[in-house]
Amino acid sequence: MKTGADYDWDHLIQERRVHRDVYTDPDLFEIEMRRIWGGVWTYLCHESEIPEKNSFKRVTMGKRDLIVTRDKEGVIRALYNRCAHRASTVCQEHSGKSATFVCPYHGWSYGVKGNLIGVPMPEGYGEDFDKSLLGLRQVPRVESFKGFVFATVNHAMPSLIDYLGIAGDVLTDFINRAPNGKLELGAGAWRNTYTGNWKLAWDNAADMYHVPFAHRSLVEMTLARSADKDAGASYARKPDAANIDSWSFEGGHTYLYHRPGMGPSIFERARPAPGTEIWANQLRKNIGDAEAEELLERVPGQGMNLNIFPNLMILASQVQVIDPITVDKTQLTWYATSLADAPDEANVIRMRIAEDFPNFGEVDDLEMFRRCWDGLQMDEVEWLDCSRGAHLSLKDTIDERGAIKASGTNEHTVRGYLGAYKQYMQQDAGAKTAV
Amino acid sequence: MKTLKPADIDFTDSSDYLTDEFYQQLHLERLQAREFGPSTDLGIVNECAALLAYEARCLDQRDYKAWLDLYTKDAIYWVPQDDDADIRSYINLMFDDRRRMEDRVLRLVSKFAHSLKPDRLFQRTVANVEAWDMAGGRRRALASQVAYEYRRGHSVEHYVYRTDHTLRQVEGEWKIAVKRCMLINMDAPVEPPTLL
Repeated sequence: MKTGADYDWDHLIQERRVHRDVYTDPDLFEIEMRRIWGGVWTYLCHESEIPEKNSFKRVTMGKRDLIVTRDKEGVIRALYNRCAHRASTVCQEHSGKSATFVCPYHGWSYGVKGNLIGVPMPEGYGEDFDKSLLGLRQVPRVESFKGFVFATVNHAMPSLIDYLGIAGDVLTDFINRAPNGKLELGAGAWRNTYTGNWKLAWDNAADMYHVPFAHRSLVEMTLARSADKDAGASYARKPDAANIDSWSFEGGHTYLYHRPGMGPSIFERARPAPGTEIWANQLRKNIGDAEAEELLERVPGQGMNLNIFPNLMILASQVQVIDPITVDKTQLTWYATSLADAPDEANVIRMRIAEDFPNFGEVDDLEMFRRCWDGLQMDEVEWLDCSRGAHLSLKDTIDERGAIKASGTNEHTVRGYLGAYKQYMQQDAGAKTAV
Repeated sequence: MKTLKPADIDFTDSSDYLTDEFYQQLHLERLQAREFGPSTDLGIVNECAALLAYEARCLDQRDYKAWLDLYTKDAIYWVPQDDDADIRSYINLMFDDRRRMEDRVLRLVSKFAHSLKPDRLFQRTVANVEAWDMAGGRRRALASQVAYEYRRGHSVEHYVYRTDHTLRQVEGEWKIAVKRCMLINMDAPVEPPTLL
């Protein structure tokens, strides 16, 4: 099997262009599944999805099928869904509550700490049969950041909070938009697949340049309905003129902040959703106009895309997760979030607004990914350009936190994460990753 | 495909019917459908089967104006992601009031809906229609459907789902008040369907 050392990274990833092999090479994908997925801190799930003792959720981390569990002390673990005996998976459910996982094949049973509880007909084993060595394998490092659970198999990674860096501060801002910072998942999810490499979705998440073109049908739909014939025009048609900024953070994280381009009220700016007027009026009646308006501003989410490398994307009110299946197949999951400490009315509106973009925007993004994938099949045409804004001096674009900041359409976001990616892919395969 | 312009749609400006009572009624009717015995009045079954077949043909032919005209002014078009969830606090794959149905159609007929280029072709089958007259002059029709979507250069996608229509008479004609489409794989990753 190839390793990162088999590739000429300075050739594949250059200052203003990236080679197609980075998207299409199946061997390179296999390296990513170790060096990137689990090689760096990888998002697994949110604590609200496993709220009680014995709650569990099944997730993937690259090719690892993991069961994230919570024990009675509240400790969260990520267990490999693989029986120590004959390798059968021991959990078939997406999520649930269970004190044990029993392998269906020969009846070996495990606890939520991964411990082997017992095996049927134990008299068939000798005295040297050591149950403590035959538990479910677990990911050695699992940490939470304010409810968001990440894991890595890489002992050389810094702590999660250091890995997140400034992206952690932005994530905190996002969480704090929920009243009392109480944000919950568990309100359902859209699950889409597309034909194409996972990085096509990642690139797109910090790309404000595509909006006027890829999402033109959505812009037209919005304009047809709106009395304001300029609705969204400055924002969606000329993003560079709309005070939208983008950042590249250390570690490969990226961030788009479009709130300043959205006018005085995000709530008013949101496209009309089913029943919005009724529930907003009820809310005003129940808690008073001033408090209701303040809360309603938090309902559609935030005008932002925060992308935590490699698989967690926060957009508006949603938590989006990338799951690469194969080099040419990717799953995207969009989790709706609710405001746990807000009145019901706010969440009814939030759910209906959350249904909007996956239906009317994401469908065209998925189509763009498919078309990029078609274009990438022609191996004589080797390069993808990512030079937009590269002529500008970086020195002028460093913000007060030391992060690179530029206009929303500047492709420093692509160049930035590729720089981090290049380093991760060149990590020494033997020394740094151990399970 | 009949050309449809935004000007052809009689826009609904407000969404004034999705009250808490309305949500609760949707939920009760969803539960009710699980208890139905066999349908016995073949006259009703045939009338409903004809309406469902016509709706399918409107969608297959992309005659979205005719499709919208089949629905009441306070209609719901609904594709749940979890058919047990309380959708006041849970998302759906699609949940459209009349206004959002119009928006959806507007996007579909836009020249710039890339996901529909080259033009998608549709063919769907409606089977196992059962139907009942309900209290309050309403009708319910359950059916099993398969929708196929094809684009040149792509494979044929297929969607397998049950439908549950609630019908109501408006000026002597049966109109669709609620359509709920329960995909067999509503919890799984899919290439998003255009309309079920």
